[in-house]
Amino acid sequence: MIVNSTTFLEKTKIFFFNIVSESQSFFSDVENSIGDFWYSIKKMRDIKKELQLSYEKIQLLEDASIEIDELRKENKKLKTLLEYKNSIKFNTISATIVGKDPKNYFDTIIVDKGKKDGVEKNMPVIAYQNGENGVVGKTLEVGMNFSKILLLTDNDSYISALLQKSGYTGLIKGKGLKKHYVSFIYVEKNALVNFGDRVITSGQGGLYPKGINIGLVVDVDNSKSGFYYNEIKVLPIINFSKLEQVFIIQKHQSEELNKMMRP
Amino acid sequence: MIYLFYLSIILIANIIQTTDIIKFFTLMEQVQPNFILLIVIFVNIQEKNPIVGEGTGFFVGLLEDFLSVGLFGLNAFLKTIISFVVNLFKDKFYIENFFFAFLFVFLVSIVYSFFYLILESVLVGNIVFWKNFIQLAFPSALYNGILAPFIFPFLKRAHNKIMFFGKGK
Repeated sequence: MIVNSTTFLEKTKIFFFNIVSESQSFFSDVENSIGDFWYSIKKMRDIKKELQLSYEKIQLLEDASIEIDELRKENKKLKTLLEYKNSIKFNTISATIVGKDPKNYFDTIIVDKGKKDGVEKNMPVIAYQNGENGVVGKTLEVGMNFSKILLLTDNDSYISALLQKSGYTGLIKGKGLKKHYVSFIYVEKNALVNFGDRVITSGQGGLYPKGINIGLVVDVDNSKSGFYYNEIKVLPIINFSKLEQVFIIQKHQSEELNKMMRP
Repeated sequence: MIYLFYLSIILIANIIQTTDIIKFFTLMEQVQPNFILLIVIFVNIQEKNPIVGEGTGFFVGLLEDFLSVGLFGLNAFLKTIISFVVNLFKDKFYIENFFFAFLFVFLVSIVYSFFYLILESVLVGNIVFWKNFIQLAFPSALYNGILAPFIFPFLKRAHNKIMFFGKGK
């Protein structure tokens, strides 16, 4: 009898244990779910913070990448200029453009080199663009640390020049008024002039060394009768609106010029 | 305080005029407004004391002369004269009005450019008068006139604020 009551009790206990443990498991699952939910919310907050930090890092990296790109470009440009400076046979002073004439009527620029750096009045100025050198103009006024340069496009600018192909000489005259081209005048009509012909400095007059690029022929005006062409329009090699750095030629000797002319 | 304001706007105008910033305002590749002249006109309109206005004209012109390759002293001389002219006529125009502001600045600019080009071409001969007058000076004067009714109220507001705060000190 005792044995029977024990069995009954055990069975009852187990029965209730099963029920309770089932509910316990249910509650435990619920608790776990709630815990997981809270955990995920907390985690989400952390992830959000991490995401924000990542965004900031990406932004910083992007900024740094842009900066590196800019520095790389600058470095490449300076390297090219340095290579060019080393390749030319003249003593040059490299200068950076810092301003322009406040008056719209003159084509002049201001550079950051002056008497202190060895710049003198009437020194030829050249530049290097797209793998080619080209005439920029000449120094007009020289201060201690700054100089004014008269561009070849100025109305008051004259350069003795020649057609590289045929050797016919003439005079390059600025057109002013912010024109893109310059005039090549006093060129004999005997000279065969074609579109794209190269015009270089002739070296006559002694100011500009011989053989420096001026520009390319873009138009020939043969409308007037006479010994010379009326006007040959020449597009300068140098794009003045993109000009940043120039080289002021300190002195040039005929021997050095001849060397430069050799292919 | 107000002189510091004048100096600041003169320097800003000078920086705009002599650097690549001017390209943002350049029309048809060659027509540019003359911000320096606009500032000189503005200072002369605002200043009750004509000596200050004319002095500003002279100082600004001299600054321009140092930077320009034109005849030295011409800007200083003409800007002083133009300051005198502005002082003479400023009360005859209702400059608060959009149209009169345009007309006044256009006329002053055209007179200034006319005399500048005449004197530069006669005394130095480095520029062709008519070409420059028609192709550059006239459109630039128009441009100045158009800009004036937009720039002047903005500068005037700043000027009045500085005057108001300056009185308390």
